[in-house]
Amino acid sequence: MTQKSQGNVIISLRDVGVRYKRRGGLFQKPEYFQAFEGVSFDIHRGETLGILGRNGAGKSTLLKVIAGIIKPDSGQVVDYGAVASLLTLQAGFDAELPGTDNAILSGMLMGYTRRQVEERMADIIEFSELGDFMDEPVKTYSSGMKARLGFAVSMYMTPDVLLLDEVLSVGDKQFKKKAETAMMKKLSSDQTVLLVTHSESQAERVCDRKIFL
Amino acid sequence: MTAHDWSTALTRWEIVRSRFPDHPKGYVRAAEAAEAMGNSRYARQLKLAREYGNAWLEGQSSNDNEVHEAIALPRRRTLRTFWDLVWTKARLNLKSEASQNHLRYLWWILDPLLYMAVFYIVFGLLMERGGPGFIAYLLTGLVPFQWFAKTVNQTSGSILSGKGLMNKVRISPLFFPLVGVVQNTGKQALVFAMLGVFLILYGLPPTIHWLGFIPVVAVQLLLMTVVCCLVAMIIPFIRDLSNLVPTGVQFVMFSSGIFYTLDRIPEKWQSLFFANPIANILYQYRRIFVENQWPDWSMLGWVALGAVIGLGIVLWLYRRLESVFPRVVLE
Repeated sequence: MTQKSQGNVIISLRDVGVRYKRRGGLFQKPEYFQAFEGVSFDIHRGETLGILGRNGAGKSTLLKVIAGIIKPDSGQVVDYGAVASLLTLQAGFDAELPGTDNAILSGMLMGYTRRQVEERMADIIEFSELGDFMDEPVKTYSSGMKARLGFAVSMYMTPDVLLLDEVLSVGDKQFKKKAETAMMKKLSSDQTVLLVTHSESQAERVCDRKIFL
Repeated sequence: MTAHDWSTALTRWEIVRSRFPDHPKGYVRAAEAAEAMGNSRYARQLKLAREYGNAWLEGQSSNDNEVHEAIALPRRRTLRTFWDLVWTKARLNLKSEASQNHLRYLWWILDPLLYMAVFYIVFGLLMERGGPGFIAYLLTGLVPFQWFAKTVNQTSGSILSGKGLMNKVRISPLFFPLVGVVQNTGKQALVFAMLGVFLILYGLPPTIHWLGFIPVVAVQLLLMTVVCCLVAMIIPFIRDLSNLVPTGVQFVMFSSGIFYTLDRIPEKWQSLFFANPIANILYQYRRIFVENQWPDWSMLGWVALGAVIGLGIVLWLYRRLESVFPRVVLE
């Protein structure tokens, strides 16, 4: 749903609830599991909003709702012209294909046009430090190299509202630092970020505002 | 202290930081100052900078840093970008598939060649069945049917196996069966070319009627798209049906007149036989290649009409169910 922007709010959740079917089907009475309900909050432009909750509180489900992957069972998500998407690493990677093909495919799956990804390719190659390996099949990569490529693609293809499931840091020791630094840069920049975490200290460190689920 | 003093403090600590970037006070005390001024965001940045270094902080204030620049994400894929995605994925799947074998793309020719050879040996040489010209009759039916069978079998579970992706990115579930259809169609182009070569060698040279091949292939493609999308759509809801797909395809194979000629069917059952759209389409291929005639346009037209209506319904259903699939596939 798109409405005219109200001040700084770019996405607002009103009384949102999601339930999952636990069992049941054609011949059985369905049984439901309520992931969460009655969740309402606004996301403001440029802020880093932390969502805290214990395991199984429905944090990841909430992100899926905001990303528009699933529809809530009750309440509604109103967006004022902003597109939110989950930060996913190695989305749709095919191990038989070279790094460049995977980067393009991954970016396109995230919703970008081929052109947008190709324009960023040089940055992706540079950030991932893969060099000539970009033309080799991903199956020849070490797990650290694969993680670097995945992270670089996600890092350069960022939507208006970035939905994060825990702060990511990937790869070998040296790249981990680089990834974390880049991630932190994103978190404290003008980028709108919704961070889901179970660590209160993490939220304290990086978030403007916190919400408990 | 007044607000003015806090900002002076900030400037001074900034100088300290640039001279002694490793000294914690430059960050901690500046953060305190920023906090007192009510700028908690800057305060937080300063605290983080203690961990990630002064250069990181400087990069923060200058906006030229390319890392945190957001790219406008298209709200919803346009038809063109969606098609480009399907096309790219299908193309890359073929590339990936080929790279797993030593003979690579050669298999796309070898596989149907071997398949056709088996039927030629069994039916044409060993059994000498169906009289002269039977092999041409058999293959003109079998080759297009194999295209249908392989595509349906391959795409039936495609939405289910796309569950990981579907729950990570926003994508129409239509993507999954369509990729399979495009992928198989790409391979089939070569198989059809080889069928053409076979027919010429067999003594059935091309005539003007071969042009009728184009609309017939188009209708088959349309029909296959509808069937594949429909099957792939239903299976996540009723998974038991996936066990029936191979049997169903076999049933269509035996009821479409691939191994027997039309004159074997009693007159009164012929209309029922042609109610099967695949039988109808295979009949058109035979008219073109074996009998050197134009396709029966009215029969073909009915199949095309049915397929178009079916496509409309399937697209509508996919639109409605788009946000239901990511949940259903996980159940």
